[in-house]
Amino acid sequence: MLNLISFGASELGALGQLALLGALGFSLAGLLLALVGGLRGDARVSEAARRVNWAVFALLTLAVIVLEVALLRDDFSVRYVAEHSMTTSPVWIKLTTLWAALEGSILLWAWILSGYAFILSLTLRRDALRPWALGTMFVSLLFFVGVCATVASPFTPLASIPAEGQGPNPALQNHWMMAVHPVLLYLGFVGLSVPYAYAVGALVTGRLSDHWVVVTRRWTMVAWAFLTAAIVAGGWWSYETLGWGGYWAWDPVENASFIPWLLTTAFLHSIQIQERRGLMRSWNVWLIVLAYSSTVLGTFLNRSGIVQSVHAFADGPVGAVFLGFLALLLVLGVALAAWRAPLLRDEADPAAPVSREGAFLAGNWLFLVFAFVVLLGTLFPTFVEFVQGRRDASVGPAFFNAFAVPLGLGLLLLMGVGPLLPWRRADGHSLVRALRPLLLAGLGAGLVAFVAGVRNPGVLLTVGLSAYNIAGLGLLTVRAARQRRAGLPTLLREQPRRYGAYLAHVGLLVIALGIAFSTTYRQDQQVTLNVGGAPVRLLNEELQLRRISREDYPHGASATAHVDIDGQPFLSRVNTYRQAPGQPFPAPAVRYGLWGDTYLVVTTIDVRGQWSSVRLIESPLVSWIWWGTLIVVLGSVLTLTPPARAAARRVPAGLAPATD
Amino acid sequence: MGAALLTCSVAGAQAAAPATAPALSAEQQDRAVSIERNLRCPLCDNGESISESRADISIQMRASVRDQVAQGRSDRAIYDFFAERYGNFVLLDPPREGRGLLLWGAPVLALLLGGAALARVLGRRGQPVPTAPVAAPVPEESYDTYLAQVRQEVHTPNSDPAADRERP
Repeated sequence: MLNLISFGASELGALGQLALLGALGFSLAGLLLALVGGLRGDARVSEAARRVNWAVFALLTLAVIVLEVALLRDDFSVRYVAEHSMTTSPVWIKLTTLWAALEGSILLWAWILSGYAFILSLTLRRDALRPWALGTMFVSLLFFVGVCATVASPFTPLASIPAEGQGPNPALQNHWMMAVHPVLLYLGFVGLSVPYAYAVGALVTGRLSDHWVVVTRRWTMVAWAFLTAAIVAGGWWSYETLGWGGYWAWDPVENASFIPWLLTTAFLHSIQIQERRGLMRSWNVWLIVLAYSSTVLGTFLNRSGIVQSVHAFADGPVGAVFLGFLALLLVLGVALAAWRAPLLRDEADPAAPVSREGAFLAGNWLFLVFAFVVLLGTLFPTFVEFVQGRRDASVGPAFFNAFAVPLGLGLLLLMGVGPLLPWRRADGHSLVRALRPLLLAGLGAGLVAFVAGVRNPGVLLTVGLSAYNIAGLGLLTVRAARQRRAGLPTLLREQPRRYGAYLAHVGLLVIALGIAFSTTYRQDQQVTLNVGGAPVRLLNEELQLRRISREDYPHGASATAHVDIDGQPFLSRVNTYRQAPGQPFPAPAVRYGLWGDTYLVVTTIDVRGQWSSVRLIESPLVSWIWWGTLIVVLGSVLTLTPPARAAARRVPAGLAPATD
Repeated sequence: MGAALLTCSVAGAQAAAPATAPALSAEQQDRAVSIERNLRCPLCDNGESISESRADISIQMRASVRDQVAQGRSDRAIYDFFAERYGNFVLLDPPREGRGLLLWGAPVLALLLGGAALARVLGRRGQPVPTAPVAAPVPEESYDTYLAQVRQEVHTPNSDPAADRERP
């Protein structure tokens, strides 16, 4: 708790706390300097604000290092270390314990935020937006550093120092993915603070030209790529550790990361309308305000325990503080946007329904409804509890899927049309002509899938729409290659942004196919096996239990069932951790395959090593989700590379898109 | 320590397959599974369904679902049975009635309202617009040039915000 004075008990804790207080002071100073610089238009003061950033970044880096050192040294005079670490953990667990609990993860968040602010301070151009964008970053910093240094300080000392710490949450110890997923998530969440800062800067200065959108696209793209990777990494973690063979459960905290993703995806498309056509100016401001706010909302949901969830392992005053900050972000964004509304009017003629803009806007519509559905489903039980005074409602996958599947299919449909359409307007006839090969490809693929035995309408539609998308992107690429008389490498070099977007779309299709097949055709059976017993046939596989072994570690124990599946050894474990005796954590054995995974999880295991109950799950195309994500991220990176000098260009004919 | 807890989970699983489980046809089996997926384990914190959960109560509830399916009770009757005992909290697929209408109706409403708004935005096209050289394709321009242009505009000192709104 709030404990800023008693530094005595712990040297490292005192150093860390001093670093945080220093960072807090500099954040405040930076905000003031930025405000003065902005109001007076004094470049020198703005420059000072820019440099103050460096101090904040340096001090927070120091704080992070101090906490890591305390964790590695098992310095239990620091409360966070005593409560979330222990001497017997492996080194990598100690390192990742930095973000295993509330205080540390807020420190990580603040540090990443200061890192972004630092990069921003290096790349920010000397224009009127500068002090305001910096100032907005300082507002965010002030909040996160403030929370870190006060109500959620990881450095508060302990009066009586325990000999052994309590160790990290077992759920965070049983997979290396926990070293990756939270960091990716924060990189994604926090990355959105920069576009938000630019939006505020644009609103304050009234420089609502499309400059902020151009600059913002790259930052948003980076954040989006991290967010995508983080969400899938989280899914992969569930898949590898929770033992139910799935990767997405519409858990409130999963939802909390998905809402910003949906809004950011909408934003990435919508800003292109502004960039190209000068339309949708106020819409884009609203979208980024919503997107950044939704990351704070996500953290609030995660950390306040207001929605029941496996992730909500922290309570305390932090929730309320986050709610306040969320309100501030929204009010700041909304008030500024309302004030500048007259300047935000679009001057160009509005979009035609059949045009690139039309497709993007329709996509925006579906993305927003999607985000609303996810938010509603997540908060509905809380609303009911609020009104009725008791927990009396649950919203499960049935609700989310009922809307997510049609909305997702609708988005796939639009995704195929979008790249085909030119900006401004297309005439209906040529659109139909251009769509014909796509529709034929989709129909053909759907038929093939049907003949191959696929009967589920959702899966058939996903297959058809994927083929339709691929056909569209393929045709556009081939056409461009012919017109330019250039190969694919040249096209990639000349228009990395366009082909990066195509690649990201292909990755999303691969993910969509993986999701459709793995959820629909997952097979799942359980059986009890005896050691040395005859092979048992399950889901077309021969299962035989060779032996059961038990390993004891300083930080816990693990029991392993050595099962042969069709002659191949599967070592499926059940882990237990010292912090949570009585709570087994399954560690399934997964054999990954391009066409399907074989997944074996121990449900129970005999203490005397005689028998074990196992669950065998076979799901097709799960790996496509992981590979698809890699493709998406590669595509995103490609969109960020600067284009090579273009060769002489021809004006494309027909419906070939006129621009990126 | 590890041994103790492993035994404890063993006890749970043994109960999972009671000897007196009614024989279900394949169709009934599917129905039972889909009902189990929509019932929440009343004692678990993480919102898992009784079909996933290994808690004793979930095992008993699964047996009860199978019993009731075997007796030919309707889905609705089975859900009501559990809602009466454990509260609406156990219904992972909230009924589409009463306050559930709010939940199920709001997305539909959002879809409709959004669609109407979209139609309005795109429909403005029909009205005559002062600046309207339609159908002229936007000339292809490389990202670089464009960025340079915008940068130049924004750099221009004392530029009127209105002036840099319309790109040449």
